[in-house]
Amino acid sequence: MQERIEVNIDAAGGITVQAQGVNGSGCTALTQALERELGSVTQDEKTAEYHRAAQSGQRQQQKG
Amino acid sequence: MSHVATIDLDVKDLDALAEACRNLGLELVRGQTSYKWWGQSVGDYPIPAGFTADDLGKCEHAIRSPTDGSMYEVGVVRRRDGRPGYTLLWDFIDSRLVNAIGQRGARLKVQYARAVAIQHARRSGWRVTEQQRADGSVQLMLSR
Repeated sequence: MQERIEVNIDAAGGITVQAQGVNGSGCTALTQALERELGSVTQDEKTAEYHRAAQSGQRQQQKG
Repeated sequence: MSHVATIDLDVKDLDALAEACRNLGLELVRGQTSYKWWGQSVGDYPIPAGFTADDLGKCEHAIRSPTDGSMYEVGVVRRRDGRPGYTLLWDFIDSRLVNAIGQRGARLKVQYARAVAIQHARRSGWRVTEQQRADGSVQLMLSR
């Protein structure tokens, strides 16, 4: 699956960075370097997709 | 999408700042140690943390108009609040400068963030598609 990072810069200079196409904590690793170059993260909101991936990982661990 | 990071912009990269200036018709002059302003603080705007009124007008680099020598300028100085990077100082009484960099420097911030993201993408092998909107906002889509 193609990895994508969406960067939105609003007219006042506010920035959000979103990773797409990566499950769970992998997306954080994908965007971390860019986020550090831009400044400091003030809010990091995990979306439903992140939590679904995390729960799926827990179930797999329980089975094993 | 699985997380959304909101970022407080820090100006740390002078190359990206220089590109941002070029995109706004300005130039970053490295090593310029003073910037044009009114010359006296009238106390109508808070001075950044760690600075005093005596520090105003002094800088390590400056942003100026290459075509309008009388326009006030932006001082680029290292932050003194413990965070990395630079603080930008300018006198907003000159409307030509405010028009160029935007209210509260918004246009300069947008162009700086855009330049940092595009530089990062090029170094890391990402393709970039860009949408600049009429309201001044920018969307970059990096993919690989």
